[in-house]
Amino acid sequence: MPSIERSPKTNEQRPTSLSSALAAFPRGTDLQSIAFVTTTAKEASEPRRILLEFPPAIQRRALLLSPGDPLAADLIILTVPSNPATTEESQTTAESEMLLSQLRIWVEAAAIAGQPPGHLMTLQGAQIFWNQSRLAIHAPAERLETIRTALLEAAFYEAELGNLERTLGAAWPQLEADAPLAFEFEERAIKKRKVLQQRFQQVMLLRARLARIAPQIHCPHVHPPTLASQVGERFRERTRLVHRHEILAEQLEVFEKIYEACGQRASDYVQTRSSNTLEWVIIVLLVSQVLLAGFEILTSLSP
Amino acid sequence: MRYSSIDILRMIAIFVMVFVHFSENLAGYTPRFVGLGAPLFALLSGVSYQLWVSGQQAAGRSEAEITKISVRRGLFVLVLGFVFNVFVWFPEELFNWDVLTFIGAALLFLNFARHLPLPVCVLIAVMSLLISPLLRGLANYNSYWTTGYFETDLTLTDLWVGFTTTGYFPFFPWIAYSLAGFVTASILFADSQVDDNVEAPEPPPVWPTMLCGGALVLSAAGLLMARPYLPSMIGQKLLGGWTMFPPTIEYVLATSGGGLFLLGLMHQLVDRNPAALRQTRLLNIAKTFSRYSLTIYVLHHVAHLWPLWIYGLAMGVEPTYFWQHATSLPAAFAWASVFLAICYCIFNRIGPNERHGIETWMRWLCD
Repeated sequence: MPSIERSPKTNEQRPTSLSSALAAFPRGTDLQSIAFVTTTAKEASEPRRILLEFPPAIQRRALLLSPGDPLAADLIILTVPSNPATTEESQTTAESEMLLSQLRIWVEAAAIAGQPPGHLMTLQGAQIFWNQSRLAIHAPAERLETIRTALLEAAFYEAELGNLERTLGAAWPQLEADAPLAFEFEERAIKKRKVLQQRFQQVMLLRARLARIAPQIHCPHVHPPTLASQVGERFRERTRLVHRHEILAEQLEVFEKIYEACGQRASDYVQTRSSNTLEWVIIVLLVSQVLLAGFEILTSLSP
Repeated sequence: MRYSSIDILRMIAIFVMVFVHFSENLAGYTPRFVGLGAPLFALLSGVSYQLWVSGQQAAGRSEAEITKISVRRGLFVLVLGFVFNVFVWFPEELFNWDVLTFIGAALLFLNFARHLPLPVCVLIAVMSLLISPLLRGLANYNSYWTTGYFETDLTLTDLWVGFTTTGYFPFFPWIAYSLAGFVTASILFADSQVDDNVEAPEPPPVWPTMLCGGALVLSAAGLLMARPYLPSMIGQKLLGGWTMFPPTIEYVLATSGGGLFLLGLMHQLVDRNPAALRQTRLLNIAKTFSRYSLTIYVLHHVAHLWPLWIYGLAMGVEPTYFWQHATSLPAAFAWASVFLAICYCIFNRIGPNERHGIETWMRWLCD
């Protein structure tokens, strides 16, 4: 089963274009490159700042990458603080629209072919643009940090779900080809046993990955709500994380059933073949004995 | 999938048989390499059958269809063997159980054996080898070979005994060759028909085949050397020294082992060697002889025996009067070379990819 992972650009390729992009935004704008690494990869974490530690089951943490960092970035976050001196009412519509337009352009510049170029979410004065690899937040400065953390978490789950969807999506043709073996196994399919075993293991791994993020995707809304919690919840709703998680679970169930049946059929077949071989060995020995006895009788009857 | 190594080995088998038959039948001389062509031919019949079955399965043919074609092909070769005995030799030689009748029977048996697990096929081959001396003892083998040639009465018992034990190419132990070829091809050419849904596997290693072949040859050599020192029960009755008639355990072990070793070696040196595969001219020669092997086998008998029979009749003597003393040995070898050269010219002109001759009749009738 091929694993289709997003392939983000390394920071070495990015700094010039991203740094130059900052010049177009108001003062206080910040750009952060973030990598999601496993907690076991200590050498990756050590010199870098940990932005977020995910729950133990997920075993991931979000690291802040410095410019020129050799580690590949999974997400780039652009934070633009709202001017504290001005209110929404006092800010001119033209300025606001220009900024939003700039954010949109920045996000859409990293759009992946075949995917929506970007999404917009507005909540209590915070404006958020995002796609799979970029996230732009325009919010009051004092709330930026909490909003960023909430979105960082939600974006990770969305990316993880997207990876699972792509991996599973690519595996459907294989499943269709393997489906007949769930009903009947034959000698010619013996050489596919190892491949089937690997595919079953991969399905189980996908199942495990899905299960690990389930508590965070299905978690109830926080009460009393904060802006950050609401942004995270809205993000989950907009990206339909709950629905997609359920669909993935259903699809994985189909994979699981078929490969489980394949495994059962293969195991039954091999066991039956072994006992058949033993029976055939006995038959061959008996036939040899009968042949010798018959031959003896036949030759003794000859004139 | 066509393997050049098999073409080369089949060409060698045909060459050996042609030179042996010409020298024996025209000059009455038995070359030292007698008894090496037919075992290789029988071994390759098993190899080819397995590859043919794999090809049919890969093409989506149902098991029933494969069985029907296999049975028709087996019967075709069996009947061809009888026709060959009557027309090339004489009607009284109808049931001498020559190599064609054996291969026909072997094809019928392989159609059954292909449904069996490979270890069972190996067991059948081993058992056929082990019981053949016992069957020969029970049948009193020498009583069928009093004149140095196989002679039989037209009784049901003698037909059965001749077919299974005492004929020129008896089912026991010759079926061991076909089964050895079939089992080896199942393992060695396991990557010949790769399922689209499975990544191309690593080609199976060649060394087990060569090791197995080498071990068989060495065990045959060991038995041949140890035979004088063994109890007569084993040394005389179970073993029998190096003889093709009857095919003793040592003979079968050595020739089948040698065939397997050569098959593994050629597969490694030719099929898995891109430099060797670029020698298309040389490989085409082998392919030509291989594709028309059945036709050449029948034709070479017609080409050197019919003139003898006709000349004998024309001279007013027995048709077999000039048999074994018609020419000198060099002349016999020269005639064999001329025959092979003519065959090559004709079949090469037709083209190795064209289908004519007995092989075409078989496909037209059976496939």
